Amino acid sequence: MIPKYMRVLFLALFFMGIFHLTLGQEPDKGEPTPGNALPRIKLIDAVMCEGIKDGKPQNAAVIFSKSHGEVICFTTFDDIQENTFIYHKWFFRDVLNRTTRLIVNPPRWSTYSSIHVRESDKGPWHVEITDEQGYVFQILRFSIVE
Amino acid sequence: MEKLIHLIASIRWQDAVDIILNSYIIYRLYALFRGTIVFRVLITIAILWFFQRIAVSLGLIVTSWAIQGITAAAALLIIVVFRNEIRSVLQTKNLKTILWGSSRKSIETPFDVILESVFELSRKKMGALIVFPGKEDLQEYIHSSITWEGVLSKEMLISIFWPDNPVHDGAVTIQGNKIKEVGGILPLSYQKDLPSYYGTRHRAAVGLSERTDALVVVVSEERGTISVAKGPRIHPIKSREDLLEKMRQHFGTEGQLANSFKKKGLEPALAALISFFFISGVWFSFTRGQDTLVNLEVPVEYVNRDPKMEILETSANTVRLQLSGSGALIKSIRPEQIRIRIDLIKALPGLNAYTITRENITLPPGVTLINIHPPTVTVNLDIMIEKTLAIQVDWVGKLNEDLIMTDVRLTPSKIDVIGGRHILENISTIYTEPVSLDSMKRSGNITAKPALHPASLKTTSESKDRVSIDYVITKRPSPNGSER
Repeated sequence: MIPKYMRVLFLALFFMGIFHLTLGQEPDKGEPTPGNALPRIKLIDAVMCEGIKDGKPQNAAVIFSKSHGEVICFTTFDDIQENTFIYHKWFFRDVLNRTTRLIVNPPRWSTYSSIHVRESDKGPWHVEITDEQGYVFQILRFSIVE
Repeated sequence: MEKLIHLIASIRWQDAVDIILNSYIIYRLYALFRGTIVFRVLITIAILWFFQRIAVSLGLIVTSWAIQGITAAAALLIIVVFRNEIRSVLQTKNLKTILWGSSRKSIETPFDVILESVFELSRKKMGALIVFPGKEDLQEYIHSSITWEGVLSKEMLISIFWPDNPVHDGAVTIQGNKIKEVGGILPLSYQKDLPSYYGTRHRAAVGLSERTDALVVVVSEERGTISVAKGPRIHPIKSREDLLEKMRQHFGTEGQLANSFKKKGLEPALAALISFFFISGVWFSFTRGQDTLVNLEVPVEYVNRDPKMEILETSANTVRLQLSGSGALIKSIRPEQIRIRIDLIKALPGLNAYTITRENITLPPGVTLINIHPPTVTVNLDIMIEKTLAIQVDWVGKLNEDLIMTDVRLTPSKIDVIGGRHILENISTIYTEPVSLDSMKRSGNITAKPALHPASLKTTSESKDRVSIDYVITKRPSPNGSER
């Protein structure tokens, strides 16, 4: 006979598994690429913003005016066991525009990358936040407008 | 010599049938209308046409244009003016005669009976008017005649012209060995130079002969003289031989040589040969003439595509063909007669290049291909797959500087798209049609259509054609931390 607390533990693990799988079906929130293992670190915050002040993102938005001149992708990771590289891949109209390699340090680390906006950059963008194995933590979508 | 061999080798069985069939039609027209004015007009039209072709080949623009006009008008007039003759030929002959038989009279006119009768009438000074029709129909010219249909005999002819007979003043029409009609009234001649001693009977004889190809024999009631009217002239007859000669000339049996010539069938053979050469000349002129060049834009048909693949793009949907041929053929080309077909049976996913050759092109007979532009076409084929793609709003315009759009949620957030594998491999996002920010002041909801690009992409039937966009707009915080 399985003890009651063990049954509760199994049930909890089962629901956690279901919850994890549900999250995995949402590509904008992280999607393992085929054949890649789950990441060893955890993305706890990712926003597109106009600036950073005191280590925090300022004016998180999904629309950026080209007159502002800069767009920043700010990310915070947790559960970092060792120095790890993550990537910010910037796509303009679905075409890879630039890739920024960033280091994150244990145990919790915030980092960012940015682009300087030009006239020709107007249009829809997205940033893929991935680990070294190509696991996509999250996709952030934004637009640069007039 | 090589050209001649090439020319003969290029003749198809359809061309041979074409020439033979039309040669036979020409020959039959000759056989049916031989000796009539219609035939002479047809010959004139043929000669005119021949000169028109020469004028064209020599580059005589106005001359060829004028002859062409005259020929066309003459061809039209022949039907209107000679409708009676044409009807007569076609009505009086059955289908077998039209297709095969000879127009030559099968029943000979008994000259001896006619000669004896005419000279007997002359001796007795009985006025007589006897009509021997030629090829032309006389229905229009002889009025008030009574159908007789009696076998010709000397006694019958004399009795018809007997002074007490009610029809003795009219004309008798003799065809073959039969008296067809009696009591006919003939049109009078308009000629003013006829001798004054010729009475109404003579003027009627000339009136008919000058209008038709008939031979009219007249016996004077006053003097008992015999005359023969043929064409616009009237000839006095002195002897039996004289009348016999005139009749032989009319019935086409004069001279032993001519008789033997026709009896041996050389005349039909010669006519058939001339028809053959004439039609062959016309055929070669029509089909092998290369005097006209034309450029045509022809749509390209891509056939035998693997059903699993789709044509994503082609370098050309139409190809310009430069063709040459005779003017008549080029003018008569219909768009559906020319086809360009590219067989995609061996095509692979990706770009496939095809050189367009003569084998890909269907042309009407007699038209020659000179040039193809472009000579090659490329076809981009791909295997169709289905893929789920994220949707993103394509914002345009300008958001008020005091506002920030902090969040956007789309329903649905993804769309199922069908397209070529190579295309979809490189696409992760479908954008909406441009959505303007200019009038946006506060949070709200709008809808937009996904813009599929490239155009070969299609949404699945389950996918919605519009996307609901919920957006959140807040006031921009002031630099000191509070909202402005």
